Amino acid sequence: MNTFALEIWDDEAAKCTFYTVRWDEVRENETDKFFNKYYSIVETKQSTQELLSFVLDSLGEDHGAIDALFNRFENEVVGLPNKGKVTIGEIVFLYPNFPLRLYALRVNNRNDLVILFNGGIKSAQTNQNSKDLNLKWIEACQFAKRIEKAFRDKEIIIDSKKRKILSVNGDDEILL
Amino acid sequence: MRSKVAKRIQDETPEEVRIFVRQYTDIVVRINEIMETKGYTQKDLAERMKKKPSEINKWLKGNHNLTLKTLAKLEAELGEPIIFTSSQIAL
Repeated sequence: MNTFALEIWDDEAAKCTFYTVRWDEVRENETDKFFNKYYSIVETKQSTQELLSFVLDSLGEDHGAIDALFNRFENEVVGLPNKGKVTIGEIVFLYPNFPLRLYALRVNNRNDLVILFNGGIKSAQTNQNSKDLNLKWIEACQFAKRIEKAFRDKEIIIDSKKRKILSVNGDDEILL
Repeated sequence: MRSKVAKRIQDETPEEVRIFVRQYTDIVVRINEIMETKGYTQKDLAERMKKKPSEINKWLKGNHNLTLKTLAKLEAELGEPIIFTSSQIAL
């Protein structure tokens, strides 16, 4: 797996800090790519605004990433070099037929620290059958597995008071 | 700091969209809280309301539009107010 940076996406909300991932040598992080892409499509523009409000207002300011709002799926990762189970969250505004799905990882199952990845449109009954979504799900699993390993190996740790993820070697930039 | 992309989209989002998302989500959270306090599972609630558990799941997982009528049914069964109006708060 290529190297990627783990960086803050939003730390201004009262209840939750959001991180994102950015491939090394790439300018735009995965979460910005997702929001930019669907905001520029007329059919999904309002859904993108709703999902952003759900992330920043409902999760960030009002409730945190609580169980009732954070769908989690434990899945056997297939098609990856390192197999195993990973629990990826799916952020979706809980409204009927909401089309967008944004993948995320709740760090150590905390309500106040979430890593956002990329996502897509749910176009079929299952995520696996949604062409746009399946690749992003596999990619999110790859990121999540690497991040979970970094926590296990103590390459990165959590600063609970500041709701931050820190690199053990003191670097400002977290590269995994 | 906040992502510049997020900030731009948030700035362009009509206030009514944000109000709708926040209030709709608050209602879902409130229903979940009451159920947890009362120790109800989705299955319990379905039995009490003579509905299928899948229908209750749809209400709580966003696959069914929570209308005022649905909320009234839920409130009657749960025995706790789900939405507070300004007149109730004044009391």
